[in-house]
Amino acid sequence: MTRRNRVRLHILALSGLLLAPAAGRAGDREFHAIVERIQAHYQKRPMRFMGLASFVANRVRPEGVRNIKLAVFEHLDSSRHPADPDFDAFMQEIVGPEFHPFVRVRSRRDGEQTFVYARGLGRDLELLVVTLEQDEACVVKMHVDSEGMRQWVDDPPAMSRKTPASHGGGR
Amino acid sequence: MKIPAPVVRLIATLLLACCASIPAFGQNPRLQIKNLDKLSKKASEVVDVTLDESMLKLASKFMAEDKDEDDAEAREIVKDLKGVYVKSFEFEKEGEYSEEDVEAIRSQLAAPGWTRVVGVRSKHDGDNAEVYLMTDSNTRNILGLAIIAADPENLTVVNLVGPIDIEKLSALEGKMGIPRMGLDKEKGKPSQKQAASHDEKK
Repeated sequence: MTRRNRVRLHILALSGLLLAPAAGRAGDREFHAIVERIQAHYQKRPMRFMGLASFVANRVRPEGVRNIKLAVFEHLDSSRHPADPDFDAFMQEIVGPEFHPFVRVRSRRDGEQTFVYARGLGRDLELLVVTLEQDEACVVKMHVDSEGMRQWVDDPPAMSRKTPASHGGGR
Repeated sequence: MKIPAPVVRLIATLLLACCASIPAFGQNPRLQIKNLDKLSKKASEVVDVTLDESMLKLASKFMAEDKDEDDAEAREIVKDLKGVYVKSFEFEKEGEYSEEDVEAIRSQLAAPGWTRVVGVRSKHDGDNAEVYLMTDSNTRNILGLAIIAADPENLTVVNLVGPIDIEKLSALEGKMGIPRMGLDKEKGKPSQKQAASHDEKK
């Protein structure tokens, strides 16, 4: 293989790496709707290169999980956080009626709130994990199969802490 | 217009059948645990787990694909349930919740149909585990279950809605946010070891 062809191959591979997440976007209207709602509410855009982060997350995903999508928001204005009693309604409005509230973990120790919503999607369960911190937010959408579901049913609070959302988007 | 007697009998039979299939009036196994929300401000960590009927249907469908024998009893229980609601509070120090807060739940469990089947209270460490069952006053079928597990720094309320075999309850310990209480696998009662380490108050 000539040097020029090797360079072409690398460019092609890199393009595939960058474009792969975009190709998967077609079926992720809800995820983007949620990200847009959070974006509009906080007047902040998510961090760039989230497509690449999602791609990486899908390569290192835990067993039973696939189709991971990530969006991370930084430097949020905490004064825009809804008051505590309104949080559930705020989140349910964001995720829509198709998603059922599954787990909510609120930690005063680290000022973190994690909301997990779920809906059935054929043979998969689609989970939407939203983590809000003082000045950061992270949205993760993922599909879990029967093995993933078993882990979630076994220990929902522990699983909600294991998601990329609970670790600042896996950064 | 006169309604023929066979039609009247049919309607009466259908009405009776409908009445028999629903719980007696006022028997609702779903607890109102929202009134514990006020503790959220004091708690260092609050965990809410909600598995409504549609989620449980999904869960049991997925669990049915899991061939792990250890989970067989849990699968059996989950497939018939209509709701699992768990609310758990962790406090940084003692005294952040009061007996009145717990009484708000206990008062609901004083309603007709509820019976306390397990009650363990320790004078030494303040550990407290109570299991209540709601049974249909007509059919004696189990309609739901409630667990209050408390120690000075933790409070957990579990509400299972739907038929449940108390003898298999131990299979759900540690799952779905339900705390481990050391229930006897055979009888759904505190194990001998646990019972021995606690002073029965009631």
